Amino acid sequence: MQQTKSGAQSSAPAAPEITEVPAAAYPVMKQKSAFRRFFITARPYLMVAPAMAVFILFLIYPIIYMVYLSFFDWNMIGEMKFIGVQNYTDMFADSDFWQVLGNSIYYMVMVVILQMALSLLLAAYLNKNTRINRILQTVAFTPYITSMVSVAFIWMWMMDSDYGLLNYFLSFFGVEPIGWLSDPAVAMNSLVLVSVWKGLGYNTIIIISAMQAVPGYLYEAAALDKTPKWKSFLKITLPMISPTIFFLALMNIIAALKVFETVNIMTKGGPMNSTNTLVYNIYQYGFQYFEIGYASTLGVALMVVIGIFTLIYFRVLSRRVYYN
Amino acid sequence: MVSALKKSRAGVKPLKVLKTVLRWAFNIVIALIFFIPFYWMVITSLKTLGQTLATPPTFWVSDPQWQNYPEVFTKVDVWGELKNSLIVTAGTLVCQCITVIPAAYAFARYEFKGSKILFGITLATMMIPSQLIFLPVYLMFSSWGMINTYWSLILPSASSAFAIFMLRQTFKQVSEELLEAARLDKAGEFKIIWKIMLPLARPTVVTLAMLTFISVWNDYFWPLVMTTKETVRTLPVGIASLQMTESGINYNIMMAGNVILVIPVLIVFFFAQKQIIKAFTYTGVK
Amino acid sequence: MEKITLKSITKAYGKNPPVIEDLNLGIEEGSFTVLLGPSGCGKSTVLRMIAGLEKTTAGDVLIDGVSVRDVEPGDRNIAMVFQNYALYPTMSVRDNIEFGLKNMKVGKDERNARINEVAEMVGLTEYLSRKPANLSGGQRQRVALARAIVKKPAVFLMDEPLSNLDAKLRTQIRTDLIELHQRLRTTFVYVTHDQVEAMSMGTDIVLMDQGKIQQHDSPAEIYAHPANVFTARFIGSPPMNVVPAEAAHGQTPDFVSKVGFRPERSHIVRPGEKVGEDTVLIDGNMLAREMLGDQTQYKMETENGTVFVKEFNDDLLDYGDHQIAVKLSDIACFDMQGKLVGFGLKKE
Repeated sequence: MQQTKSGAQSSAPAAPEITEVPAAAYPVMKQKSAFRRFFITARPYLMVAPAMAVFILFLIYPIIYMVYLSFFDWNMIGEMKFIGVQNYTDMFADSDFWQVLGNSIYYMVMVVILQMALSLLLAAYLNKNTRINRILQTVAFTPYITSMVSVAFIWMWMMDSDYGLLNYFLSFFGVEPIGWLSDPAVAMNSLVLVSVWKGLGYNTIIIISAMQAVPGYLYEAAALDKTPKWKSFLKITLPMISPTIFFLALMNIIAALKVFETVNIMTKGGPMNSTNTLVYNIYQYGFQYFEIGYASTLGVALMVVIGIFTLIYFRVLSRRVYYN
Repeated sequence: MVSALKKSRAGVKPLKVLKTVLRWAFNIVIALIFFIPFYWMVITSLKTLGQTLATPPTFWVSDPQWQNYPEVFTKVDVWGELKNSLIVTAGTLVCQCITVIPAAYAFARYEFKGSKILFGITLATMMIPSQLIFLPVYLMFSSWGMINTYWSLILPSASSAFAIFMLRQTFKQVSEELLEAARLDKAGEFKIIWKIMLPLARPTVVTLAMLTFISVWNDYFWPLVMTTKETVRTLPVGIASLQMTESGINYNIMMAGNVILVIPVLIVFFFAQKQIIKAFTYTGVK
Repeated sequence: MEKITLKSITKAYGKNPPVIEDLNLGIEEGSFTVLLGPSGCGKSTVLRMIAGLEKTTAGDVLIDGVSVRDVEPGDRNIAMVFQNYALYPTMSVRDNIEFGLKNMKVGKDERNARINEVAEMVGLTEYLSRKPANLSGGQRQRVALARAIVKKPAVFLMDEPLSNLDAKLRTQIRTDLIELHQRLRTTFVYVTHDQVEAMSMGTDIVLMDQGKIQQHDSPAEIYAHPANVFTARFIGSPPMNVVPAEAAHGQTPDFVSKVGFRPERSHIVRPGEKVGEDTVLIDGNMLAREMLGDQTQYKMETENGTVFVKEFNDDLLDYGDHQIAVKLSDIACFDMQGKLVGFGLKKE
């Protein structure tokens, strides 16, 4: 406050000296208050606080809570009983767990391989920037923005073993009706198919945008050397877009490990547990059998699996950033 | 020489025609692969139950069963769930604006102790899927008595690490001179964000809002696990419940419900396809 | 009366050695002070500390005798024109100019009056509704100026505002700025690395090098009496020739280590020309010759280095060996530290 006063005083006597522009015409410079100075220091923290609160409360704390719960026996209503690593030994001894883990990994591997192979082929086919190709890209993209519920419903109906469209089409080729969702040997593959169908357009478009970022002079050089098209695709395009493919593959891996919707709507984990995945299994133990401790243990297992792939993902991502 | 040239040219032509035909055939197959399922959904929704079970299946209906649609409304509280979907989507968008914009600005523009650690935490949370933590979060909300409230649907996604990351990148590209000019123009930080940063970051903001809108609107998993009653359930959960009827699966009714669920998104996609595709490719090519 | 005072300012970034150390500077009210120096000399940093965009590591900045340590940039009654103009890209020219006024809570009628006046003054009236992206470089420059003028600040700060313009426009805006200063009579602080800009516009020049003030004087004084070798070599086009004292053939006192003379205060001896006692002759070979119409510039190689000679006559000389004549009274003598000792010093 005192400083403000002295500011006013010192600018006032300046007025008579300068005739052209009276100094008194300028507003008095306002000195920052102590509160204001504190506020400026605290401001960045205040600005990130809401976001941090959400992350800590709804993402980080739940993880810790989940690990904590995995050491207890609890049915949500009764008393929590500490049982040490009992849940873990149970889990490792449970053949169902190994089946579910196997299912999840099988699903993941199949989705990633099929997704990458098909989207690469489709991208190579639709790469040229023509009108019809753009339309086809848009058409292929549509399922991606459609709700998983809708996609699951549609395919559930198309995969109906008695009245479904798929078996009807296959009957033209003399194929016997397939139990798409009722045959334990087939059901998981059906879910893979649905996932690939939904994500194909997205993956294709990402690959196309990577392909179109390959500098044209590389192809011109190849054309001058009379390199056949397929060869320049293998020798130029593929190496140039390999970072994108790797990145997409990892995104698909993590997405595949989270699969739940199609399982819950189309198969409920059946037949004979053949489509039961880690997330669905956690859901069952948590919300159907009310074994919170064991469900949390399965959660920890999922966390480890996702963590491994996330780590790879981050390493690749940081390298990509580095190269750019 | 000349005749030889002519011959070879004549030889090329049929090959070219064949190529074009093959290409078109292939184009049609690709289009059908993605189109038929949607067509089948719509056509089934207009059939009687008997027609859906007919062999061979029919690809056209002469007497569309429009009453399948009102029937969906009797089985599912479509309007109520639509309202819930809107509230949850809008609520999430508003919350994300409040949490994401200031955080992105602070990370982009301020130097403060611990900023690197806090930003690292933010990035790390990007890798925690909701499928991993739904059970503990459910237990938390249930101990607070907040299951079956909009809060349990909105709060967990009230911020987005991805959005903070992207918006921070955009904010970082704005030249420092511009902010200095604004500070000399006596603009406070809020005004700088509102009048200078956000208008400049508009494409990013629109893109992020679109991504959030589509993912929240379509989400089935979170509302399913966070709600036990219909009161706050969103449309995807409601439509999904159509398959659980006592009278067996009525695919015509299910597909009618499905059309109701899909149409709004398809309409939005039809009018903003370029922007939506761009938005999604943005998530893949960083 | 000093408008701005810098009191033993030190500025360091992080743990690096300071870029500016213990700098003292007074800027007179109503002056057009130019901070001049090579890039990296700290002149922009000084300007930015006055604006409050950069904190001082130690020392104090006073405006009107009051410390502004705790006064935010927007409250210092200053306006700044940036090198890249820093126009708000999403706002029209009008909104750009109005933004500061709105933040200063100037009333609407007053705002409109001021905007119209300033737009008229810089010739932007027709462009008020355009976006900066649709303006030429010169027009953007004028928007940046208008944005500063309209606030009626007590001090104008300008950070190399002409460096992004082509030569012709630069000369034009230079004159405009002199006019503007004459009209407003407020304090201008102008940063540049171009000594022509400094000499032509400034009423005061603060020549800086390596974070230190080398000389603070009027343009005439800085030209006539360069305080040291650095100043001598920075001012003038071409600047003063500074060569080892031997070039003066032992006619200067022993403590003089370097001597200098202005190219325009020397000439090349014509055949048969009589040279007076008070003249020093230097042998040189002509390397290059530039005829500029009213003047000719010669680049000469001598024993003690390359020097320039500037003549104002039509008598063009041929390439070859020549003698350069400089009056002893035009020879600046510098001591071992590079400080100016005086002109025309003779050995006893």
